[in-house]
Amino acid sequence: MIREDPDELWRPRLSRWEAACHAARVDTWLLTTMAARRFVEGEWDDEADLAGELDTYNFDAGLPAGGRVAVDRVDLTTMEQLRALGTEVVDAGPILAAARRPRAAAEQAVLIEGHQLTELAVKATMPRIRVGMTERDVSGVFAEEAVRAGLTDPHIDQVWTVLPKSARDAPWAWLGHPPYRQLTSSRALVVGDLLALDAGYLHHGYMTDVGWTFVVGRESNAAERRLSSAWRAVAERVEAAVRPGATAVDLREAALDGWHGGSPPWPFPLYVAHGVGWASIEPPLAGTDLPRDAEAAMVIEPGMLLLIEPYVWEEGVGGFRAELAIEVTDDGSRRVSRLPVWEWRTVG
Amino acid sequence: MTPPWARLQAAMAEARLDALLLASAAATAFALGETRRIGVHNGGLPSPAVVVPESGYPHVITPDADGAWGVLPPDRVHPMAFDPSMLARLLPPLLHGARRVGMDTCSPGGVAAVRAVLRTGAVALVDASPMLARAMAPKERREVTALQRACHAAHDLVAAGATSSPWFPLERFHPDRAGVEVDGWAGFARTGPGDEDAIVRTIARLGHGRLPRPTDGVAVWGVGRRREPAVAVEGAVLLVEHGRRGVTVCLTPDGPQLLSP
Repeated sequence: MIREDPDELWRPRLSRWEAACHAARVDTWLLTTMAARRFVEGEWDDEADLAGELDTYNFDAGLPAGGRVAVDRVDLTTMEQLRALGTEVVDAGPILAAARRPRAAAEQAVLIEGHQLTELAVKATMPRIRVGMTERDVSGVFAEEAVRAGLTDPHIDQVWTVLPKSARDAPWAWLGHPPYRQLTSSRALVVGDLLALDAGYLHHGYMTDVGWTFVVGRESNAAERRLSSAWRAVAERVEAAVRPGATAVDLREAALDGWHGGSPPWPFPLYVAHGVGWASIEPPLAGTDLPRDAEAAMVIEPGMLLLIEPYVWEEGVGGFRAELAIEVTDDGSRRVSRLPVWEWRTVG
Repeated sequence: MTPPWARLQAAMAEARLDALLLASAAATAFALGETRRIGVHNGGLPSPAVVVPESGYPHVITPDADGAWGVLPPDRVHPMAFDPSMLARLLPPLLHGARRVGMDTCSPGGVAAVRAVLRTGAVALVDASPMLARAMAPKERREVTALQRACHAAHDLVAAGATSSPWFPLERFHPDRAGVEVDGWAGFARTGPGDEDAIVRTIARLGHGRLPRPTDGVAVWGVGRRREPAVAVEGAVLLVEHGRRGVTVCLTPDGPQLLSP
């Protein structure tokens, strides 16, 4: 287990943050979200809420007069007060985004370790899943295994959801897009369910993101294996397109190359691939609603950790969604995922 | 039961607001009632994702269409977008005719995006945070019951020495404290050392419109779908804490009622 070392993890972050502030001509900052504060201050307030929301109410500790101040969340009254003090407010979001990379070697190691610890928790959860458990029960078992693996702080309410097999089971689905379920519920598992996972934790502040789909209580059938094969083909095309200098457009086009389905093979309104690091969704974002030139501006660089996450769904059969983690290297990429997320496993 | 968005709309009418744009986790969750969005720890959203018109159902921008099904009409549910220009396309028809629009906490970029949308009309953008805090504070009986259930769940977790939970944790687990979201409602347990006399003194002073200023190291938070600003009105659910000890109470006409076990 890598221990948090301020010199290895925090100081490189702070150094990049200060450089990004300098580039943005920012003199000081008022940060309220836990992610931003932890990035810059390196301290983890063990007693605070995990989001840091409401801390804007602590601004009365004093507002800076004059200069340019980077702020991540603010209300209009505080903005007016800052303006009255002659202080120019700058959005801290783009500055933080600029400071996230390039990561130091120790940060990269922690990021990848976190991913693999999350996979360990998934692996330990699988044999504990039983028919009759609710999705929420499974989420609870996974949370226990995550703690055993050394992960205590989820950054998301873990997704353990039974995927719809027919469009009529998912009347909420966006028109023209494959039906999907995102929210863990009290639905009990039955034999033949297709159970999707999308989970993430903070590991020393760096985010993890693991996804897979399981068959409940029986082996996968031929139609289901057709789904996972199609998923794997899309994922491997995207993986093959990942190299330094390529862009998010290249990844999108790789996903669509030879795809004959009616809608793109990824969950709407999300993406087919994205980066992860200090934030759970970092560039490159491939397959979003962003204009082509915006995706073309997202250039892939060595050290990026990418999640490739197609979604393949067929009426009457159901869906398969998983996340293949790869790290961009100097001349291509290497797989970080140790689990065979491209094929079905039986649980329950 | 009055839908929460209708309670906001009543407060908007008093404040002469034609629409509300919401981004904070507490306010968006309150405004949407039983609609669910996936729980994430991001300190609220950078840009507004909920629009409350002066009447009728709210609009939500969400990745989770399944969470709105059966609560909001489909035409009020809009897919999450990464393209910042989406707000510029979505908001004008939703704010058509509005003269005063309220907004809560979001990123400076989110504020700028909204200002850019409103620039074409003579629309005043005002800080709705204080109004929201007052409007969200009074909880209806069924909501208080749900909040008490969440509070008890948090206490059960602490009693069991839990280090994790099926429920979405709002705080890191400790042997003497927990914070979880249970069926969309926040619950907290504080069982460690603290000045019980100071807590009791603070509770005794709680009453309609009387919220003691933070003294003696006692902190008071509102509790709803997430932590909320504390407002002392009838029906408000408040977490009163000192050190590592605390209790959750509901303000009733007969005085504060203990919700913690």
